[in-house]
Amino acid sequence: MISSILAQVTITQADLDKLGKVEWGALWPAWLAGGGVLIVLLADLVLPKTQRWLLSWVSFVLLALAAASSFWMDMPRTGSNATVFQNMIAADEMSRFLAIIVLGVAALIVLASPDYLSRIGIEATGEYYALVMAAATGMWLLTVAAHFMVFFVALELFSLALYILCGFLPRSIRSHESGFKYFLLSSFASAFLLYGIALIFGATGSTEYGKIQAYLADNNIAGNNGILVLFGVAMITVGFAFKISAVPFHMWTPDVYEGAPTPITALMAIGTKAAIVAAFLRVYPGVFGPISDQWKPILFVLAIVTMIGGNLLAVSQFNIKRLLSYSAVAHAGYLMIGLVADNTLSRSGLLFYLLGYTVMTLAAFAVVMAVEGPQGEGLQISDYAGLHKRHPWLAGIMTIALLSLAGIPPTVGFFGKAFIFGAAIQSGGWNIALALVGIVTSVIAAYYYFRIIIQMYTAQPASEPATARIGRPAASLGFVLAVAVIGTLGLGILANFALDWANQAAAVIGQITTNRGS
Amino acid sequence: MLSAMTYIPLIGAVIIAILPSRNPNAYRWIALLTTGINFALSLYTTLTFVRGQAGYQFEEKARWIDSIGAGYHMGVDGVSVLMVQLNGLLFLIAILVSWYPIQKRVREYYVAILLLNVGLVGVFCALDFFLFYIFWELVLIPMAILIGVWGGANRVYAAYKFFIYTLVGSLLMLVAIIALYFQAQPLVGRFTLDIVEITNATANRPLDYTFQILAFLAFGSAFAIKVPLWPFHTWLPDAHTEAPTAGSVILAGTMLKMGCYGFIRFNLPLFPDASKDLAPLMIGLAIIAIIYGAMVALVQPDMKKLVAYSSVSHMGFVILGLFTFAYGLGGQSGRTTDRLLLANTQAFEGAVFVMFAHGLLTGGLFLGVGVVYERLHTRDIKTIQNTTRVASRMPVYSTVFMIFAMGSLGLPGISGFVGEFLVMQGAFRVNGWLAFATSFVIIFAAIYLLWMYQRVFFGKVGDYDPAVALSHGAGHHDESHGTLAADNAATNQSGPAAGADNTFHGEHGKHPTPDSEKFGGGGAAGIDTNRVGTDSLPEKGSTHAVPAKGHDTGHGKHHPDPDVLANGAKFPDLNLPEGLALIPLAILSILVGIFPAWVLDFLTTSGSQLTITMVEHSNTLAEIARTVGK
Repeated sequence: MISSILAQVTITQADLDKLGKVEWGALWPAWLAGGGVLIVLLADLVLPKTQRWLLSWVSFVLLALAAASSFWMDMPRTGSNATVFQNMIAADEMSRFLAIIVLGVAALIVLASPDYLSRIGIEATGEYYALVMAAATGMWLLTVAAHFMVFFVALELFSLALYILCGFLPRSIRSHESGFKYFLLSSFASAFLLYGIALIFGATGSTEYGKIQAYLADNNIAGNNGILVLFGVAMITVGFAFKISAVPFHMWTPDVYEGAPTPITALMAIGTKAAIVAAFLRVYPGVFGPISDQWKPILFVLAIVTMIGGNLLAVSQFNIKRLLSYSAVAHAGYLMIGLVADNTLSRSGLLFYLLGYTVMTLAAFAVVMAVEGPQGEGLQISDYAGLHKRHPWLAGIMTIALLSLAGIPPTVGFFGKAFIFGAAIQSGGWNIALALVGIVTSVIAAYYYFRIIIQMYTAQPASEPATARIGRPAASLGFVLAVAVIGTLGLGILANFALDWANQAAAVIGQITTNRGS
Repeated sequence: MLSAMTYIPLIGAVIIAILPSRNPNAYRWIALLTTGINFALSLYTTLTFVRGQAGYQFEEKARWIDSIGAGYHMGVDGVSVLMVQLNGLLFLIAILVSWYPIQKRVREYYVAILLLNVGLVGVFCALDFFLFYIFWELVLIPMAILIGVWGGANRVYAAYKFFIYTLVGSLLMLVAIIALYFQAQPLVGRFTLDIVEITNATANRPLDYTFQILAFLAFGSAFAIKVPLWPFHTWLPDAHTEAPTAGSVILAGTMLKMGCYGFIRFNLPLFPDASKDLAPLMIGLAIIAIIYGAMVALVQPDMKKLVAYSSVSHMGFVILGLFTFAYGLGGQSGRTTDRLLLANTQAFEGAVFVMFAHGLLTGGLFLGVGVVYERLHTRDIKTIQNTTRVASRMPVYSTVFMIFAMGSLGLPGISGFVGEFLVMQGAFRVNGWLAFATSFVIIFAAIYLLWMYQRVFFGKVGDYDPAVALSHGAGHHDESHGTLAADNAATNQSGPAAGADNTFHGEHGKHPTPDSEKFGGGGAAGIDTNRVGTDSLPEKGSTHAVPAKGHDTGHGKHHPDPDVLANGAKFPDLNLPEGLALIPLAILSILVGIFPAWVLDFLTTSGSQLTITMVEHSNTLAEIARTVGK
């Protein structure tokens, strides 16, 4: 009797195959970065205080390894079915591409942090690095999610870590405000997102990307079911617009970015944005591809409003972090063009733009970190007057970063914009308006970026700025600056390599859409 | 060859940027060496260029961004080889004339100017739209920085205006390039950004007419801003007035040519139907620019502004030439036979000749203004007139400046005449009234240039005593009244900085390694035109020093030794770098004027080639050509 039961439950190899092999190797970046969280936390307990500076190096090495591990990451299947863990996780070229962006930028920010933290008087603490690593893990998982549950968990993973990190400065009321504001508003937006997912589940019966897409492709969206889907998409779009800080959901951005410690601001401006955009690159053209006529008009309007609003609001800013945060808002608008235009060039252009946006924004924020004083001085644009005399190299790097953000060749920012605007023009019709608005707002953007350049090179500081005596940046921060600026110029001049890679990565989305028919 | 020419300045800029030495002379010599090599290479290119041969020469091709069809493609034809040559020459000159005047942030100055050189060579050589656009924009930043850092009092405003204004145009062009990219794809058969490929592909199947018009306008507004064509010219006087001398020379000498070059390279061959149909508009704007520029130049109190507006006028000639050429292709003439018009390449050749000659002459005029500004720290014509009699103190300089002024007003024998004559001839073939209107401008040019020359170089009529003139100058500057007692005025002028500062400025030649800090400290003073202008005028005590010496400038032929101004400032004739820059330029402009064939030989093939391209690429033009040909 027992033996017969045992015989029944004996698991054969065939059963295992039916279940699907667990492709542990497909998640190397997550193991390294996520496992690193535990390693750093444990090491923080064990290490004596004098040795804690090691933590930043440990987390840097782990994050860098995590980024690099994407190269030996398993990609067991190809084509439209390139998923692992029972279709939960997408293991494809795009996952690899985003691992380099998200985890790479987290590694560089970790490297840049000790100089900044010690200057503002925070001792090297394990939880800071552990949280950054947790955030990075979440960001990467978001980009590889192929299932709305993974999507949401990943989103919450990095959001929770960022809430704490935003309020990390112990004596800064602004930092606390930043963390609290981000927490409240972001949770609210997450609730919208989750409700949207629930509605979609109600309509389509699944939370799996492939199945939802197949359902939407095969079934006519009408009647009650259609209303569910449309409400779901609308709710998800609200969450998306909030996270990417599209106008009019951008109100939190400048406050949160301004109050957060500058490395965390950089992490949010770069990592979060890249992760969200990449995740929605899988969601909008992929999952919701069959009903693209429903969400495209919404994103079209959002993109135009965001480009105009972000750039106009940035003009009147006096604080460099606020200016860069409005510029991040504006860039969200450019990125959304890539989603709306929705053709081959737009997808690869969007990924290319993400890569370029990463390096150029990192360069700008790294300079801000290097110039910022212990009490948060040196953040006004007027403090950049005459920076050229005090730190010629920093001024030079800032100039290149700002020119790239403005989209002036031969920097990477120009190529990104050219590809995205090109995609919009290619898709024709009303989308040409997107390109035109993008062009006009680029001129506005050029004005406020150029204002900082003029400050750095021609203006004389009214008085000796408080930050005048800040010495050269530490070697680690210098390394970050060098990587970022070389990336900004190199990815521009050698745009072919990055674009080819982005093409491969973006091909994933195209395949799914065309296979299922839209 | 072309790549070497483009990137050698980049290497020079990088070397200067990372050079450990803090000696400004090291930067100067490296910059001089770099631009010297560049000039030699451009000379070699020009001399070995095969003139009768159609198509591009010295071509270089490499793969670049394959996935969008952008390649690395360089090459020159007759027009661009001239521009590259002009560019090589003017940059060498720009480095020379910056030798002593630039004393603050020397390192950055030369980095900026060499980067500018990279962009400008690249623009004229690039045969790929992406590459072209990159070089086009690369020009923008160093020039804005040059204006914004080393410029005059209002430099930041001018830099903003220049930057934003030209950026608007460039971005319009970018949209047009992208649109053209998609439009040309079915014609070429694949996505490409290669200029030659696209131009050849439109031969069989011309671009859609509506698209031609739109693209013409988008490209055209970018180029019209750069030229600058009325009404897009307002950035130019500001930029010119505020830019340092070398910046002005390059701005006038080669940067304005970028716009004209753009019309020649893109608008005419790619959009022939639009060029022909919009030619009346462009001709109208050109005529307005020619007349308006000259009229406004008449009333300018500032020498540099005067030259800047004369540039607007001259660049109008270029556009007039190009579009009477395009218009002529259509064969709709009031007076002459259509057969003549079809071969209206004079207008084209004349336009390019004006481009070349304007580079030499206006470059020279700006250099000349810079020379006098270095000594008197003012460009205000009246102030100079009332300060001294420049002609008797600086005879060599005055002669050279005269050559440039004469050339610019179109005196036969100097290069300015040839181009304008050819353009007017071309315009006459299209419509006699056009030529009539433009020929009046030559009179205006004579008025504003000669009047300026007279006031600046010969001082006040009947008043040759420098001491008296000097004190009058002081009065003028402060009060704008003609007759103030010398002593009274001088008392106003006893500024604290007067003595020391002037000795320094006047004797640049005797400071082999001028202390950059000293000048840097006085940076604000060195920039503020008006204030320094008055600073350099005499103190009360020294006002009487010169008459006591018994110096007599009444004899015209008398050559004064490097003269001492009343306040003790030296007033030497051209120093070595200035002479090296100005005199060959003057000789060259005369030689080109006497032997215009040197330049025109480069253009004959390009002109006929362009005619063929345009006629081939347009249905209507080809039709007309057939009917007229019979």
